[in-house]
Amino acid sequence: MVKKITELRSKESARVISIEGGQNFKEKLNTLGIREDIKIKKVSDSFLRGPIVIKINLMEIAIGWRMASKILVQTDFLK
Amino acid sequence: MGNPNVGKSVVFNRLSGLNVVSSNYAGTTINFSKTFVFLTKDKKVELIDVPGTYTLKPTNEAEKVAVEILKEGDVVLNVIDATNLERNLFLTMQLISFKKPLVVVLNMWDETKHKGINIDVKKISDILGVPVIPICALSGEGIKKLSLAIKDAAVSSYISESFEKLDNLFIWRKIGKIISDAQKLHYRHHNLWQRISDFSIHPIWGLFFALFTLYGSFKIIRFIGEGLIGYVFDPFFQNILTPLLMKLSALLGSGGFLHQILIGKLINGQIDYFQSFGVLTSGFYVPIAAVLPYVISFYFVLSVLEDSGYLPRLAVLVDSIFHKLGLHGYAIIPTLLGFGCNVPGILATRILEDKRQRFVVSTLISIAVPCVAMQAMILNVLGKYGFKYVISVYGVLFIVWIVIGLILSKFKKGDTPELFIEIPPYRFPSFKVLSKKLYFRVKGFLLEALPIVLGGILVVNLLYSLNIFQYIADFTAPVITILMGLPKNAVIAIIMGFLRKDIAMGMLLTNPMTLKQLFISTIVLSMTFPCIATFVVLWKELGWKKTVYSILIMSLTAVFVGSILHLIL
Repeated sequence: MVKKITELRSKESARVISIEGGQNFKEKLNTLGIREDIKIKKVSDSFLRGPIVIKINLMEIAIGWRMASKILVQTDFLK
Repeated sequence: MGNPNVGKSVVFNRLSGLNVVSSNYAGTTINFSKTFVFLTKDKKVELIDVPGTYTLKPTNEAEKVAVEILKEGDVVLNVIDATNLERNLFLTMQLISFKKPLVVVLNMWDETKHKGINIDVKKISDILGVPVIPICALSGEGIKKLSLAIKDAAVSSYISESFEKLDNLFIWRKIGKIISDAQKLHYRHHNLWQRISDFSIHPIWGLFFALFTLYGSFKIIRFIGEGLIGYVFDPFFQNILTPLLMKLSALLGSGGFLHQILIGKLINGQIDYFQSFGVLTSGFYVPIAAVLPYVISFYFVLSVLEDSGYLPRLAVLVDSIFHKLGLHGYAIIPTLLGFGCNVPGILATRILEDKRQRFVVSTLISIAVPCVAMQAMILNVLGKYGFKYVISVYGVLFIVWIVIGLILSKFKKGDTPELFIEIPPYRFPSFKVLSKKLYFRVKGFLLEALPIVLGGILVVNLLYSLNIFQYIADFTAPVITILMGLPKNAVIAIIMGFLRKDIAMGMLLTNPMTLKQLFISTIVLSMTFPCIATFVVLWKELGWKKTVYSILIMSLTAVFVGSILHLIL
């Protein structure tokens, strides 16, 4: 099932399937290793639309809410 | 060179024996430092510590600096966080495309072991064709090997395309090949640090954790500071220096020009270290016995917070609140640094992406964030009347911080980029790094503060005897006396705040004042124009136009808030 990172539950894992936005935006995400086809895990939810925290491998990254809502992920890839 | 927070500055310090400030969050190094080091007895090279960058396509000031320096370097030491190999290799690939001789430094090697990461160093070295040296910069393991390996730096041919032609997908594919050949993972999940980490970024528990941490920090700062004053510094002055100075005072005939300059005014026949205001009395007491203890305790606590990795988590928590002021959460880091000294605080605004935020944060720091010297004096002076007055000063400044922030965000509109940062793992602060950092910050304070305080008091006494202050005081009396209800001479202290806020605070005490007047003048003094060091750095960082603008905001706010307080108290 495809959803936005912001819609994931806390502690849920997913695979990034697409990033909506311009080249600059993708470039920015790319520098921290967020790109299509990688596995992420949501660590903590946001408060008042504050940033959410995700984990890639051992690295935790905080992403602003609006940015995070442009990252689409798939949760049933494990099955 | 390397990604932010991989320990470049620690490696730099290890190689050079110098002491550049390092912490556990991205963006500690905002400019480059350089030095000459001897790799072997007869081989001397210049080593440059470069701000961290994730990419050679720069996205902020500090990263631009990094790319500029790369062009000048002959050999690149690419420092990599070994626990984050894949992500870190992205920059390595870009560096390879620049065709400069390279040494790859795998830092935090010790952490890979207990995190269940297995890296085949030789294999990476074979694939890339450059020396790869595992080290642990904090403990110094592997540094020797690294300094010997620099001469073997080689140009890698792993990527033959030039930088301009590189495509991200291609880079990741190249990295994927290295990772699958040279790295094996057996993650061990959820140790204690991980649990604390999850807890401290939790949207609700995290806020409690933050309040508790800040409250605890403040308590510890006061405890250490008051302890040092009460048991060490004050007894030293009272028991050892006072008898000597009293002898000198008698020798000088208890009065006269020289007495005024060296000892100052005797209060009831005794030296009063806050009010006498002589070079040898207040001149030494204020910076050493009143302020230094708090400098030590503040920087101790700040350094622990920095090195543990808590600050970026705090940035995440406050982000949604800060956005209301048109800032993002990372602005909390320069602000906290500003509580030590406004100068490093304003310099640290370079980690914010755009000029608008830098202006707003710098201005807010100068108005509403009193430096540790000023705070020490507030504690010393107002604390005597009761702690609630100290808290009220912070309360008023906090309100001013929010209101000015809101106003500036209305006038200087702009899209605040959203928070996007790496959260480092918690680390137990290294005692060695911590004590070195503390030593250098305290030394920096003494070297900077002592001469200005001593010189300032000398100048003040000279100007007093020339009656120049009287003219100024009479001239500004309408604003000072009628609007803010202060004695007209308070303006002299406020002007002296331009030199240093701690002497200025001491000068306030030389005027007889009611508690209300003392409270108002303390707040006005904190908010009004910055001390000279802050002024210089504002000028350098923002340019003269914005500095003038910023100082206008400060002065107007100070007068406005002073007048309001006079009306309502």
